[in-house]
Amino acid sequence: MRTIHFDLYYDGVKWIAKNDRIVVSGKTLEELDENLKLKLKDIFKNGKIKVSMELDFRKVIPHWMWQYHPYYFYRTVYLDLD
Amino acid sequence: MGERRWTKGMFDTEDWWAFWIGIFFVILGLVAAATYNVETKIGVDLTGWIVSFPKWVDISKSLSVDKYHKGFMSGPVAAVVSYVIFTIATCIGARAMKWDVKKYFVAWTIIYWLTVIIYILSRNAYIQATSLELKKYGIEWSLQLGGAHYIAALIIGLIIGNLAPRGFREFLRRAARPEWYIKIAIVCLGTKLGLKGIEATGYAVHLILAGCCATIAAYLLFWPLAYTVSRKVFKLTKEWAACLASGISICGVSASIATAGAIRARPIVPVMISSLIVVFAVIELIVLPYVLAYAPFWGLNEPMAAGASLGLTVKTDGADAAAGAILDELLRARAANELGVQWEEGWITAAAVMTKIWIDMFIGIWAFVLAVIWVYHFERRPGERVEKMEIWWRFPKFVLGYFIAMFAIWGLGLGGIIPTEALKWGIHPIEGPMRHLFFMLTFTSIGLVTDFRELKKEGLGRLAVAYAFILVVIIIPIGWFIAWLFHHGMKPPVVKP
Repeated sequence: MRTIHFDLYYDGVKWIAKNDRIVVSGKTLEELDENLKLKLKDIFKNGKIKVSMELDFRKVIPHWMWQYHPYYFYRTVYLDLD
Repeated sequence: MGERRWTKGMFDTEDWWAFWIGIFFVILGLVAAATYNVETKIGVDLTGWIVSFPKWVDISKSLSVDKYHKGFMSGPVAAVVSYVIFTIATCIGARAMKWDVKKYFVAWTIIYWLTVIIYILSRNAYIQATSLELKKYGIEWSLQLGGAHYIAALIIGLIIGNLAPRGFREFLRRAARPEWYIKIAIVCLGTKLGLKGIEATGYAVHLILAGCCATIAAYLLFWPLAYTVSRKVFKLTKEWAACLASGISICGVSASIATAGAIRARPIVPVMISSLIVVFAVIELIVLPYVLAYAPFWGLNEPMAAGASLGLTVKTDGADAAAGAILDELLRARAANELGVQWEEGWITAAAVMTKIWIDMFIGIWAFVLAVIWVYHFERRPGERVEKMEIWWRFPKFVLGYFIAMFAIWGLGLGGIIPTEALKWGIHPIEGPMRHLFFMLTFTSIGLVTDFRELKKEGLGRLAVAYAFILVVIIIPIGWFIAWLFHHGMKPPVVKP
Protein backbone atom coordinates (compact mmCIF):
# COMPACT_ATOMS: atom_id res chain seq x y z
CA MET A 1 0.00 0.00 0.00
CA ARG A 2 1.21 3.46 -0.84
CA THR A 3 2.06 5.70 2.17
CA ILE A 4 2.13 9.47 2.04
CA HIS A 5 3.31 11.80 4.82
CA PHE A 6 2.06 15.26 5.59
CA ASP A 7 2.89 17.97 8.07
CA LEU A 8 -0.30 19.11 9.76
CA TYR A 9 -0.97 22.68 10.92
CA TYR A 10 -3.80 24.58 12.53
CA ASP A 11 -3.91 28.30 11.73
CA GLY A 12 -6.67 29.17 14.17
CA VAL A 13 -9.40 28.69 11.58
CA LYS A 14 -8.62 25.60 9.55
CA TRP A 15 -6.48 22.45 9.52
CA ILE A 16 -3.84 22.32 6.77
CA ALA A 17 -2.04 19.20 5.52
CA LYS A 18 1.09 19.92 3.51
CA ASN A 19 4.02 18.14 1.96
CA ASP A 20 6.41 18.91 -0.94
CA ARG A 21 3.73 18.40 -3.59
CA ILE A 22 0.30 18.74 -2.01
CA VAL A 23 -1.49 21.29 0.19
CA VAL A 24 -5.03 20.60 1.42
CA SER A 25 -7.14 22.27 4.10
CA GLY A 26 -10.46 21.90 5.90
CA LYS A 27 -12.35 23.62 8.72
CA THR A 28 -12.69 20.28 10.50
CA LEU A 29 -10.59 17.15 10.29
CA GLU A 30 -13.47 15.40 8.53
CA GLU A 31 -13.51 18.11 5.87
CA LEU A 32 -9.73 17.89 5.60
CA ASP A 33 -9.91 14.12 5.04
CA GLU A 34 -12.59 14.57 2.38
CA ASN A 35 -10.57 17.21 0.54
CA LEU A 36 -7.46 15.06 0.82
CA LYS A 37 -9.29 12.13 -0.69
CA LEU A 38 -10.41 14.23 -3.66
CA LYS A 39 -6.91 15.58 -4.23
CA LEU A 40 -5.28 12.16 -4.03
CA LYS A 41 -7.89 10.70 -6.38
CA ASP A 42 -6.85 13.33 -8.93
CA ILE A 43 -3.25 12.19 -8.63
CA PHE A 44 -3.47 8.45 -8.13
CA LYS A 45 -6.93 7.66 -9.58
CA ASN A 46 -7.65 4.59 -7.43
CA GLY A 47 -6.34 2.27 -4.77
CA LYS A 48 -5.93 2.44 -1.02
CA ILE A 49 -3.52 4.93 0.51
CA LYS A 50 -2.15 5.19 4.03
CA VAL A 51 -1.88 8.85 4.97
CA SER A 52 0.32 9.76 7.88
CA MET A 53 0.04 13.26 9.40
CA GLU A 54 2.08 14.85 12.13
CA LEU A 55 0.96 18.06 13.79
CA ASP A 56 3.99 20.31 14.09
CA PHE A 57 4.07 20.59 17.87
CA ARG A 58 6.42 23.53 17.97
CA LYS A 59 4.29 25.67 15.69
CA VAL A 60 1.06 25.33 17.69
CA ILE A 61 2.13 24.82 21.29
CA PRO A 62 3.99 27.64 23.12
CA HIS A 63 7.64 27.08 24.00
CA TRP A 64 7.02 26.95 27.76
CA MET A 65 4.79 23.90 27.32
CA TRP A 66 7.25 21.79 25.29
CA GLN A 67 8.92 20.47 28.42
CA TYR A 68 5.71 18.80 29.60
CA HIS A 69 4.97 16.47 26.69
CA PRO A 70 6.89 15.36 23.60
CA TYR A 71 4.24 15.80 20.89
CA TYR A 72 0.63 16.74 20.17
CA PHE A 73 -0.79 14.06 17.91
CA TYR A 74 -0.06 11.91 14.93
CA ARG A 75 -2.88 10.82 12.60
CA THR A 76 -3.01 7.74 10.46
CA VAL A 77 -5.86 7.67 7.94
CA TYR A 78 -6.56 4.95 5.37
CA LEU A 79 -8.23 6.42 2.29
CA ASP A 80 -9.97 4.23 -0.26
CA LEU A 81 -9.88 6.11 -3.56
CA ASP A 82 -12.12 3.65 -5.39
CA MET B 1 9.45 13.47 8.10
CA GLY B 2 8.89 9.77 7.55
CA GLU B 3 7.57 6.73 9.37
CA ARG B 4 7.43 7.24 13.11
CA ARG B 5 9.76 4.86 14.91
CA TRP B 6 9.74 3.86 18.55
CA THR B 7 13.00 5.80 18.89
CA LYS B 8 11.35 9.04 17.86
CA GLY B 9 12.33 11.90 20.13
CA MET B 10 15.12 9.92 21.77
CA PHE B 11 17.68 12.68 21.29
CA ASP B 12 15.60 15.80 20.85
CA THR B 13 13.03 15.92 23.66
CA GLU B 14 13.43 17.10 27.24
CA ASP B 15 11.86 13.95 28.59
CA TRP B 16 14.54 11.76 27.00
CA TRP B 17 17.32 14.18 27.95
CA ALA B 18 16.25 13.97 31.60
CA PHE B 19 16.73 10.22 31.20
CA TRP B 20 20.14 10.53 29.51
CA ILE B 21 21.56 13.06 31.96
CA GLY B 22 20.15 11.35 35.05
CA ILE B 23 21.30 7.89 33.98
CA PHE B 24 24.75 9.18 32.98
CA PHE B 25 25.41 10.42 36.51
CA VAL B 26 23.91 7.28 38.06
CA ILE B 27 26.30 5.20 35.93
CA LEU B 28 29.19 7.40 37.10
CA GLY B 29 28.17 6.58 40.66
CA LEU B 30 27.92 2.86 39.95
CA VAL B 31 31.33 2.79 38.24
CA ALA B 32 32.81 4.60 41.24
CA ALA B 33 31.14 2.09 43.55
CA ALA B 34 32.55 -0.81 41.54
CA THR B 35 36.09 0.49 42.08
CA TYR B 36 35.67 1.07 45.84
CA ASN B 37 37.62 -1.17 48.21
CA VAL B 38 35.70 -1.48 51.51
CA GLU B 39 38.89 -2.32 53.43
CA THR B 40 41.15 0.45 52.20
CA LYS B 41 38.19 2.84 51.75
CA ILE B 42 39.65 3.93 48.43
CA GLY B 43 38.03 4.04 45.01
CA VAL B 44 38.01 6.08 41.80
CA ASP B 45 36.06 9.10 42.95
CA LEU B 46 33.79 10.04 40.06
CA THR B 47 31.01 11.70 42.09
CA GLY B 48 32.70 13.35 45.08
CA TRP B 49 32.90 16.69 43.23
CA ILE B 50 29.16 17.34 43.54
CA VAL B 51 28.62 20.36 45.79
CA SER B 52 26.65 20.05 48.99
CA PHE B 53 25.01 22.82 51.07
CA PRO B 54 25.13 22.01 54.79
CA LYS B 55 23.55 24.13 57.48
CA TRP B 56 26.10 26.63 58.78
CA VAL B 57 26.89 29.14 61.45
CA ASP B 58 30.27 30.05 59.98
CA ILE B 59 29.69 31.01 56.33
CA SER B 60 33.09 29.61 55.36
CA LYS B 61 31.51 26.19 56.00
CA SER B 62 28.41 26.81 53.87
CA LEU B 63 29.73 24.81 50.91
CA SER B 64 30.96 21.24 51.13
CA VAL B 65 30.90 17.86 49.41
CA ASP B 66 28.96 14.68 50.16
CA LYS B 67 29.46 13.26 53.67
CA TYR B 68 31.12 10.11 52.29
CA HIS B 69 33.66 12.17 50.30
CA LYS B 70 34.94 14.66 52.84
CA GLY B 71 38.33 16.02 51.87
CA PHE B 72 37.99 15.19 48.17
CA MET B 73 37.88 18.89 47.38
CA SER B 74 36.84 22.11 49.10
CA GLY B 75 33.26 23.32 48.98
CA PRO B 76 33.88 26.41 46.82
CA VAL B 77 35.88 24.33 44.34
CA ALA B 78 33.08 21.77 44.28
CA ALA B 79 30.56 24.55 43.54
CA VAL B 80 32.61 25.63 40.51
CA VAL B 81 33.30 22.06 39.32
CA SER B 82 29.59 21.22 39.69
CA TYR B 83 28.70 24.30 37.66
CA VAL B 84 31.12 23.32 34.89
CA ILE B 85 30.02 19.70 34.68
CA PHE B 86 26.29 20.34 34.92
CA THR B 87 26.64 23.16 32.39
CA ILE B 88 28.33 20.82 29.93
CA ALA B 89 25.66 18.16 30.49
CA THR B 90 22.68 20.48 30.08
CA CYS B 91 24.23 22.36 27.14
CA ILE B 92 24.74 19.09 25.30
CA GLY B 93 21.03 18.43 25.82
CA ALA B 94 20.13 21.97 24.76
CA ARG B 95 22.19 21.60 21.59
CA ALA B 96 20.58 18.28 20.74
CA MET B 97 17.13 19.83 21.23
CA LYS B 98 18.14 22.64 18.86
CA TRP B 99 17.81 25.41 21.41
CA ASP B 100 19.87 28.58 21.12
CA VAL B 101 22.74 27.22 23.21
CA LYS B 102 24.51 30.55 23.74
CA LYS B 103 21.38 32.15 25.17
CA TYR B 104 20.57 29.03 27.18
CA PHE B 105 24.13 29.03 28.60
CA VAL B 106 23.90 32.64 29.79
CA ALA B 107 20.42 32.21 31.28
CA TRP B 108 21.44 28.91 32.92
CA THR B 109 24.53 30.55 34.43
CA ILE B 110 22.44 33.30 36.00
CA ILE B 111 19.88 30.82 37.34
CA TYR B 112 22.52 28.41 38.65
CA TRP B 113 24.49 31.01 40.62
CA LEU B 114 21.35 32.79 41.82
CA THR B 115 20.15 29.42 43.12
CA VAL B 116 23.50 28.73 44.79
CA ILE B 117 23.45 32.09 46.58
CA ILE B 118 19.86 31.59 47.76
CA TYR B 119 20.74 28.05 48.91
CA ILE B 120 23.75 29.23 50.90
CA LEU B 121 22.01 32.13 52.60
CA SER B 122 18.88 30.22 53.55
CA ARG B 123 20.79 27.27 55.05
CA ASN B 124 21.98 29.39 57.94
CA ALA B 125 21.54 27.41 61.15
CA TYR B 126 19.70 30.28 62.84
CA ILE B 127 17.06 29.84 60.13
CA GLN B 128 16.96 26.07 59.69
CA ALA B 129 18.51 24.15 62.61
CA THR B 130 16.04 21.91 64.45
CA SER B 131 15.91 21.77 68.25
CA LEU B 132 17.99 18.56 68.12
CA GLU B 133 20.72 20.40 66.22
CA LEU B 134 21.13 23.54 68.35
CA LYS B 135 23.91 21.99 70.43
CA LYS B 136 25.69 20.70 67.31
CA TYR B 137 25.87 24.24 65.90
CA GLY B 138 26.59 25.90 69.22
CA ILE B 139 23.54 28.16 69.08
CA GLU B 140 20.76 28.73 71.57
CA TRP B 141 17.88 29.43 69.23
CA SER B 142 16.74 28.92 65.67
CA LEU B 143 13.66 29.80 63.63
CA GLN B 144 13.47 26.05 62.82
CA LEU B 145 12.15 26.79 59.33
CA GLY B 146 12.75 23.47 57.61
CA GLY B 147 12.63 23.87 53.82
CA ALA B 148 13.36 27.60 53.94
CA HIS B 149 15.80 27.24 51.04
CA TYR B 150 13.06 25.88 48.79
CA ILE B 151 10.59 28.61 49.72
CA ALA B 152 13.26 31.30 49.30
CA ALA B 153 14.12 30.02 45.79
CA LEU B 154 10.43 29.93 44.85
CA ILE B 155 9.70 33.41 46.18
CA ILE B 156 12.71 34.99 44.50
CA GLY B 157 11.83 33.20 41.28
CA LEU B 158 8.23 34.48 41.52
CA ILE B 159 9.39 38.04 42.19
CA ILE B 160 11.63 38.00 39.13
CA GLY B 161 9.07 36.11 37.03
CA ASN B 162 6.26 38.56 37.80
CA LEU B 163 7.95 41.90 38.45
CA ALA B 164 11.24 42.03 36.54
CA PRO B 165 11.37 43.83 33.18
CA ARG B 166 9.71 41.68 30.55
CA GLY B 167 12.82 41.26 28.39
CA PHE B 168 14.86 39.99 31.33
CA ARG B 169 12.30 37.50 32.57
CA GLU B 170 11.66 36.21 29.03
CA PHE B 171 15.42 35.78 28.63
CA LEU B 172 15.78 33.84 31.87
CA ARG B 173 12.89 31.55 30.91
CA ARG B 174 15.14 30.06 28.21
CA ALA B 175 16.86 28.12 30.99
CA ALA B 176 13.99 28.04 33.52
CA ARG B 177 12.97 24.46 32.78
CA PRO B 178 11.32 23.13 35.97
CA GLU B 179 10.03 19.94 34.39
CA TRP B 180 13.44 19.07 32.93
CA TYR B 181 15.31 19.70 36.17
CA ILE B 182 12.80 17.84 38.33
CA LYS B 183 12.84 14.85 35.99
CA ILE B 184 16.63 14.70 36.29
CA ALA B 185 16.21 14.94 40.07
CA ILE B 186 13.60 12.17 40.02
CA VAL B 187 15.99 9.83 38.18
CA CYS B 188 18.46 10.58 41.01
CA LEU B 189 15.68 9.84 43.52
CA GLY B 190 15.37 6.35 42.05
CA THR B 191 18.75 5.60 43.58
CA LYS B 192 17.33 6.40 47.03
CA LEU B 193 14.74 3.65 46.77
CA GLY B 194 17.50 1.47 45.35
CA LEU B 195 19.77 1.95 48.35
CA LYS B 196 16.91 1.67 50.85
CA GLY B 197 15.57 -1.36 49.04
CA ILE B 198 18.75 -3.27 49.84
CA GLU B 199 18.30 -2.71 53.59
CA ALA B 200 14.51 -2.80 53.73
CA THR B 201 13.11 -4.36 50.59
CA GLY B 202 9.68 -4.76 52.11
CA TYR B 203 9.34 -1.07 52.90
CA ALA B 204 10.44 0.02 49.44
CA VAL B 205 8.12 -2.47 47.71
CA HIS B 206 5.22 -1.40 49.93
CA LEU B 207 5.78 2.21 48.95
CA ILE B 208 5.88 1.34 45.25
CA LEU B 209 2.75 -0.84 45.37
CA ALA B 210 0.81 1.57 47.56
CA GLY B 211 1.51 4.29 45.02
CA CYS B 212 0.27 2.10 42.20
CA CYS B 213 -2.98 1.22 43.98
CA ALA B 214 -3.63 4.82 44.92
CA THR B 215 -3.15 5.88 41.33
CA ILE B 216 -5.56 3.34 39.89
CA ALA B 217 -8.21 4.37 42.40
CA ALA B 218 -7.63 8.02 41.59
CA TYR B 219 -7.90 7.53 37.82
CA LEU B 220 -11.18 5.62 38.20
CA LEU B 221 -12.74 8.26 40.43
CA PHE B 222 -11.20 11.60 39.51
CA TRP B 223 -11.63 11.68 35.75
CA PRO B 224 -15.31 10.68 35.47
CA LEU B 225 -16.29 13.05 38.28
CA ALA B 226 -14.27 15.95 36.89
CA TYR B 227 -15.65 15.39 33.38
CA THR B 228 -19.25 15.15 34.58
CA VAL B 229 -19.01 18.31 36.68
CA SER B 230 -17.36 20.18 33.80
CA ARG B 231 -20.17 19.20 31.42
CA LYS B 232 -23.23 19.36 33.69
CA VAL B 233 -22.37 22.18 36.11
CA PHE B 234 -20.07 24.41 34.07
CA LYS B 235 -21.56 23.57 30.63
CA LEU B 236 -18.21 23.06 28.93
CA THR B 237 -18.18 21.30 25.57
CA LYS B 238 -16.85 17.73 25.33
CA GLU B 239 -13.55 19.02 23.94
CA TRP B 240 -12.93 21.42 26.86
CA ALA B 241 -14.37 19.10 29.51
CA ALA B 242 -12.19 16.13 28.49
CA CYS B 243 -8.97 18.18 28.51
CA LEU B 244 -9.84 19.94 31.76
CA ALA B 245 -10.77 16.63 33.40
CA SER B 246 -7.45 15.12 32.40
CA GLY B 247 -5.43 18.15 33.39
CA ILE B 248 -6.97 18.44 36.82
CA SER B 249 -7.32 14.78 37.65
CA ILE B 250 -4.27 13.16 36.08
CA CYS B 251 -0.93 14.80 35.42
CA GLY B 252 -1.60 18.41 34.70
CA VAL B 253 -0.12 19.98 31.58
CA SER B 254 1.15 16.69 30.21
CA ALA B 255 -2.30 15.11 30.52
CA SER B 256 -3.96 18.17 29.05
CA ILE B 257 -1.73 18.01 25.96
CA ALA B 258 -1.99 14.22 25.68
CA THR B 259 -5.78 14.30 25.96
CA ALA B 260 -6.16 17.20 23.55
CA GLY B 261 -3.99 15.30 21.11
CA ALA B 262 -5.88 12.07 21.66
CA ILE B 263 -9.24 13.70 20.90
CA ARG B 264 -7.76 15.90 18.15
CA ALA B 265 -8.77 19.11 19.92
CA ARG B 266 -7.84 22.54 18.65
CA PRO B 267 -4.45 23.57 20.12
CA ILE B 268 -5.97 26.58 21.94
CA VAL B 269 -7.70 24.14 24.31
CA PRO B 270 -4.66 22.60 26.05
CA VAL B 271 -2.81 25.93 25.94
CA MET B 272 -5.48 27.76 27.95
CA ILE B 273 -6.05 24.89 30.36
CA SER B 274 -2.31 24.48 30.91
CA SER B 275 -1.99 28.16 31.82
CA LEU B 276 -4.40 27.54 34.67
CA ILE B 277 -2.76 24.30 35.74
CA VAL B 278 0.68 25.80 36.32
CA VAL B 279 -0.68 28.74 38.29
CA PHE B 280 -2.88 26.57 40.50
CA ALA B 281 -0.02 24.09 40.97
CA VAL B 282 2.12 26.85 42.42
CA ILE B 283 -0.70 27.95 44.73
CA GLU B 284 -1.06 24.34 45.91
CA LEU B 285 2.70 24.06 46.35
CA ILE B 286 2.64 27.06 48.68
CA VAL B 287 -0.49 26.11 50.63
CA LEU B 288 -0.81 22.31 50.82
CA PRO B 289 2.49 21.38 52.52
CA TYR B 290 1.68 23.68 55.42
CA VAL B 291 -1.90 22.43 55.68
CA LEU B 292 -0.73 18.81 55.67
CA ALA B 293 2.16 19.46 58.05
CA TYR B 294 0.02 21.09 60.72
CA ALA B 295 -3.50 19.66 60.28
CA PRO B 296 -4.26 17.42 63.28
CA PHE B 297 -5.22 14.33 61.29
CA TRP B 298 -2.17 14.49 59.04
CA GLY B 299 1.07 16.03 60.29
CA LEU B 300 3.08 13.73 62.48
CA ASN B 301 0.34 11.07 62.50
CA GLU B 302 0.40 10.20 58.82
CA PRO B 303 3.57 11.64 57.22
CA MET B 304 3.83 9.18 54.32
CA ALA B 305 0.13 9.37 53.51
CA ALA B 306 0.43 13.16 53.54
CA GLY B 307 3.33 12.93 51.07
CA ALA B 308 1.45 10.51 48.83
CA SER B 309 -1.60 12.80 48.80
CA LEU B 310 0.50 15.51 47.16
CA GLY B 311 1.19 13.19 44.25
CA LEU B 312 -2.55 12.82 43.73
CA THR B 313 -3.48 16.48 44.14
CA VAL B 314 -0.60 18.64 42.83
CA LYS B 315 -0.68 18.46 39.10
CA THR B 316 2.78 19.06 37.67
CA ASP B 317 5.86 16.94 38.36
CA GLY B 318 7.86 20.00 39.36
CA ALA B 319 5.31 21.40 41.79
CA ASP B 320 4.49 17.96 43.23
CA ALA B 321 8.11 17.06 43.96
CA ALA B 322 8.71 20.56 45.24
CA ALA B 323 5.69 20.34 47.56
CA GLY B 324 6.88 16.92 48.72
CA ALA B 325 10.30 18.36 49.52
CA ILE B 326 8.80 21.19 51.57
CA LEU B 327 6.52 18.81 53.46
CA ASP B 328 9.51 16.51 54.05
CA GLU B 329 11.48 19.34 55.65
CA LEU B 330 8.51 20.61 57.69
CA LEU B 331 7.58 17.22 59.11
CA ARG B 332 11.15 16.15 59.84
CA ALA B 333 11.68 19.40 61.70
CA ARG B 334 8.46 18.84 63.66
CA ALA B 335 9.40 15.24 64.44
CA ALA B 336 12.81 16.35 65.69
CA ASN B 337 11.43 19.24 67.73
CA GLU B 338 8.28 17.63 69.13
CA LEU B 339 8.99 13.90 69.21
CA GLY B 340 12.77 13.91 69.57
CA VAL B 341 12.93 11.60 66.53
CA GLN B 342 15.08 12.09 63.44
CA TRP B 343 13.35 10.74 60.37
CA GLU B 344 15.49 9.99 57.33
CA GLU B 345 15.45 12.74 54.74
CA GLY B 346 13.68 12.25 51.41
CA TRP B 347 11.07 9.58 52.22
CA ILE B 348 8.06 11.86 52.38
CA THR B 349 9.30 13.39 49.10
CA ALA B 350 9.61 9.87 47.69
CA ALA B 351 5.98 9.14 48.63
CA ALA B 352 4.85 12.30 46.82
CA VAL B 353 6.92 11.43 43.76
CA MET B 354 5.97 7.74 43.69
CA THR B 355 2.22 8.37 43.29
CA LYS B 356 2.93 11.04 40.67
CA ILE B 357 5.18 8.68 38.73
CA TRP B 358 2.45 6.05 38.54
CA ILE B 359 0.02 8.72 37.40
CA ASP B 360 2.51 9.82 34.74
CA MET B 361 3.07 6.26 33.57
CA PHE B 362 -0.58 5.61 32.98
CA ILE B 363 -1.15 8.72 30.86
CA GLY B 364 -0.07 6.87 27.74
CA ILE B 365 -2.69 4.19 28.31
CA TRP B 366 -5.33 6.76 29.24
CA ALA B 367 -4.64 8.88 26.16
CA PHE B 368 -4.89 5.76 24.00
CA VAL B 369 -8.22 4.80 25.57
CA LEU B 370 -9.59 8.32 25.05
CA ALA B 371 -8.34 8.37 21.45
CA VAL B 372 -10.11 5.09 20.74
CA ILE B 373 -13.35 6.33 22.29
CA TRP B 374 -13.21 9.68 20.49
CA VAL B 375 -12.03 8.53 17.07
CA TYR B 376 -14.12 5.36 16.89
CA HIS B 377 -17.25 6.44 18.76
CA PHE B 378 -17.76 10.11 19.63
CA GLU B 379 -16.41 11.70 16.43
CA ARG B 380 -16.20 8.90 13.96
CA ARG B 381 -13.89 9.68 11.06
CA PRO B 382 -13.93 6.98 8.41
CA GLY B 383 -10.51 5.54 7.77
CA GLU B 384 -8.74 7.00 10.80
CA ARG B 385 -6.85 4.54 12.98
CA VAL B 386 -5.45 4.96 16.47
CA GLU B 387 -1.99 3.45 16.69
CA LYS B 388 -1.10 1.37 19.77
CA MET B 389 2.37 2.94 19.63
CA GLU B 390 0.77 6.08 21.11
CA ILE B 391 1.04 4.34 24.46
CA TRP B 392 4.84 4.23 24.12
CA TRP B 393 5.23 7.63 22.49
CA ARG B 394 3.33 9.27 25.36
CA PHE B 395 5.05 7.20 28.09
CA PRO B 396 7.20 9.49 30.26
CA LYS B 397 10.74 8.34 29.52
CA PHE B 398 12.32 9.84 32.63
CA VAL B 399 10.37 7.21 34.60
CA LEU B 400 12.48 4.57 32.86
CA GLY B 401 15.54 6.26 34.35
CA TYR B 402 13.95 6.23 37.81
CA PHE B 403 13.23 2.50 37.72
CA ILE B 404 16.48 1.54 35.95
CA ALA B 405 18.44 3.39 38.66
CA MET B 406 16.41 1.70 41.39
CA PHE B 407 16.58 -1.83 40.01
CA ALA B 408 20.25 -1.58 39.01
CA ILE B 409 21.17 -0.79 42.61
CA TRP B 410 18.85 -3.50 43.96
CA GLY B 411 20.36 -6.02 41.58
CA LEU B 412 23.97 -5.09 42.30
CA GLY B 413 23.42 -4.82 46.06
CA LEU B 414 21.06 -7.73 46.76
CA GLY B 415 23.01 -9.89 44.32
CA GLY B 416 26.22 -9.25 46.27
CA ILE B 417 27.96 -7.94 43.15
CA ILE B 418 28.93 -4.63 44.76
CA PRO B 419 28.98 -4.25 48.57
CA THR B 420 26.36 -1.91 50.03
CA GLU B 421 29.04 0.28 51.57
CA ALA B 422 30.60 0.76 48.14
CA LEU B 423 27.24 1.55 46.58
CA LYS B 424 26.56 4.19 49.21
CA TRP B 425 29.98 5.72 48.61
CA GLY B 426 29.51 5.94 44.84
CA ILE B 427 25.81 6.73 44.66
CA HIS B 428 25.11 8.92 47.68
CA PRO B 429 26.39 12.14 46.02
CA ILE B 430 23.83 11.52 43.23
CA GLU B 431 20.99 10.61 45.62
CA GLY B 432 21.77 13.49 47.99
CA PRO B 433 23.64 16.61 46.82
CA MET B 434 22.84 16.31 43.09
CA ARG B 435 19.16 15.63 43.72
CA HIS B 436 18.92 18.54 46.17
CA LEU B 437 20.66 20.91 43.77
CA PHE B 438 18.31 20.02 40.92
CA PHE B 439 15.35 20.37 43.28
CA MET B 440 16.56 23.87 44.08
CA LEU B 441 16.95 24.68 40.39
CA THR B 442 13.36 23.44 39.94
CA PHE B 443 12.06 25.76 42.67
CA THR B 444 13.80 28.79 41.18
CA SER B 445 12.55 27.86 37.71
CA ILE B 446 8.94 27.30 38.84
CA GLY B 447 8.97 30.81 40.25
CA LEU B 448 10.46 32.25 37.07
CA VAL B 449 7.94 30.66 34.71
CA THR B 450 4.79 31.26 36.78
CA ASP B 451 3.03 34.44 35.72
CA PHE B 452 -0.06 35.16 37.81
CA ARG B 453 -1.21 37.61 35.13
CA GLU B 454 -2.25 34.56 33.08
CA LEU B 455 -5.38 34.36 35.22
CA LYS B 456 -6.56 37.70 33.81
CA LYS B 457 -6.59 36.44 30.23
CA GLU B 458 -9.88 36.61 28.41
CA GLY B 459 -11.88 33.42 28.38
CA LEU B 460 -10.16 31.94 31.42
CA GLY B 461 -12.79 33.12 33.92
CA ARG B 462 -15.24 30.23 33.69
CA LEU B 463 -12.42 27.72 33.28
CA ALA B 464 -10.65 29.05 36.37
CA VAL B 465 -13.82 28.79 38.45
CA ALA B 466 -14.42 25.24 37.19
CA TYR B 467 -10.83 24.31 37.95
CA ALA B 468 -10.90 25.73 41.47
CA PHE B 469 -14.25 24.10 42.26
CA ILE B 470 -13.23 20.64 41.02
CA LEU B 471 -9.86 20.86 42.76
CA VAL B 472 -11.22 21.86 46.15
CA VAL B 473 -14.46 19.85 46.17
CA ILE B 474 -13.42 16.66 44.37
CA ILE B 475 -9.69 16.17 43.82
CA ILE B 476 -8.23 17.22 47.16
CA PRO B 477 -10.74 15.46 49.48
CA ILE B 478 -10.81 12.23 47.47
CA GLY B 479 -7.03 12.38 46.96
CA TRP B 480 -6.49 12.69 50.69
CA PHE B 481 -8.78 9.75 51.39
CA ILE B 482 -7.17 7.48 48.77
CA ALA B 483 -3.66 8.39 49.96
CA TRP B 484 -4.64 7.59 53.54
CA LEU B 485 -6.30 4.30 52.48
CA PHE B 486 -3.10 2.90 50.96
CA HIS B 487 -0.43 4.57 53.08
CA HIS B 488 -1.84 4.92 56.59
CA GLY B 489 0.47 3.82 59.34
CA MET B 490 3.64 4.22 57.25
CA LYS B 491 6.33 6.36 58.82
CA PRO B 492 9.71 7.37 57.38
CA PRO B 493 12.69 5.28 58.51
CA VAL B 494 14.56 6.68 61.51
CA VAL B 495 18.18 7.84 61.16
CA LYS B 496 20.49 5.24 62.65
CA PRO B 497 22.72 6.69 65.44
